[in-house]
Amino acid sequence: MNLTHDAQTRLDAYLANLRATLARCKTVDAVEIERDILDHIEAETQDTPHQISVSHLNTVLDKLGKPEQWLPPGEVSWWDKIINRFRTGPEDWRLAYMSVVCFTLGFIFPPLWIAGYIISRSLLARNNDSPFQTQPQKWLYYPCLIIIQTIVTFIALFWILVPAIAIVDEFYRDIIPYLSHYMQSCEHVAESLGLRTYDVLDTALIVFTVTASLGAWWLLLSISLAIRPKCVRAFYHPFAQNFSSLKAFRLTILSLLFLATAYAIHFCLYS
Amino acid sequence: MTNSLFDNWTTQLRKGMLELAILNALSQSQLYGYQITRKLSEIQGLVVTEGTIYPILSRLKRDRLVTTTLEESSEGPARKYYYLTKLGRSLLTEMNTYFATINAGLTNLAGASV
Repeated sequence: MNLTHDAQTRLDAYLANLRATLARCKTVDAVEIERDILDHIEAETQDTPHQISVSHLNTVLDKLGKPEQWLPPGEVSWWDKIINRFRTGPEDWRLAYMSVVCFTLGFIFPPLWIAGYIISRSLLARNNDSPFQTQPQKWLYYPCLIIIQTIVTFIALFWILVPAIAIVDEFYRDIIPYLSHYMQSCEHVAESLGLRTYDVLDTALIVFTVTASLGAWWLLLSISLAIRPKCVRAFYHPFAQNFSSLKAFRLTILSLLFLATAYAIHFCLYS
Repeated sequence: MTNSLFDNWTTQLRKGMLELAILNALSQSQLYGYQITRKLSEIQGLVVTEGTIYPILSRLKRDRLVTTTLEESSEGPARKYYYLTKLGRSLLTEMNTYFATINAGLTNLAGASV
């Protein structure tokens, strides 16, 4: 057979799939069938005067069908079908299935979510301009993307609370003497609500710490994101393609609201 | 639901009929694989994917219902011809009789319901 380079590659892949599929079927002779298939292709293309192109070969192979379709149900176990899909399936599918496996096993061993995320990103990079992203199989690799992006988002937004609360907790006794103004204000509030003064002070301190630390950190973060919106688009690909500096300023507004709340608490207690 | 039932039914029917069709195709003369697919393709709706017949031929050969012989071809390399064995011919007669009985019964049923 006089095949073009692309056609030869396509034929080799088809025969590899045929061998892998039929090797697991004990009732047929895979070598003989491969020979038959080659004879069939040769007979089908023998009238072609020029080199056989990949599109011509594809027409013949489409008529032959996928080797998986040839075998009756039950001839190949579901496990063999999965293994075969991994070994010979299109790269798109293999990576997508690997990603979903990582996602599932990640509930037992969470670092696998990172591996799944990397695989999903590789798949996205590989199919950047293909319609693959609009097809239902995107839900095979979206879970790993979503879970890692959600975890990173949560950490990026709230990590500041850990050191902030730790510092307040650590120096609580040291700062109490300086909170005499606060204590007086809290007494008034506690009296009117029927609570203990220290409970009101604790709550006020926690709310102040949370709003002040989050407000300050989100202000810095939003300014950084506004300067470099590309970073967000790259990390949250393909979900944040429309992210812009303007959208980063929404976080700036939220951070200013938090800072204003922190200041209001301070002002109310101090006055 | 109806379409799914029809699809299932035609798939099952085709699978059962393919072996009978292959054996019948070989009853007249020996044929090579490609010729068998061409003959079977003439029966509308029977062959969906042409490659399906090769595992069936392999199974028939394993069961000694058909056998093969290599013959030189003027159009290229030697071709592998399939032909029915005595056992295959005997089974084909049985299968055809059985199918004719079923078919006659179905025709009667259809006639009675009209």
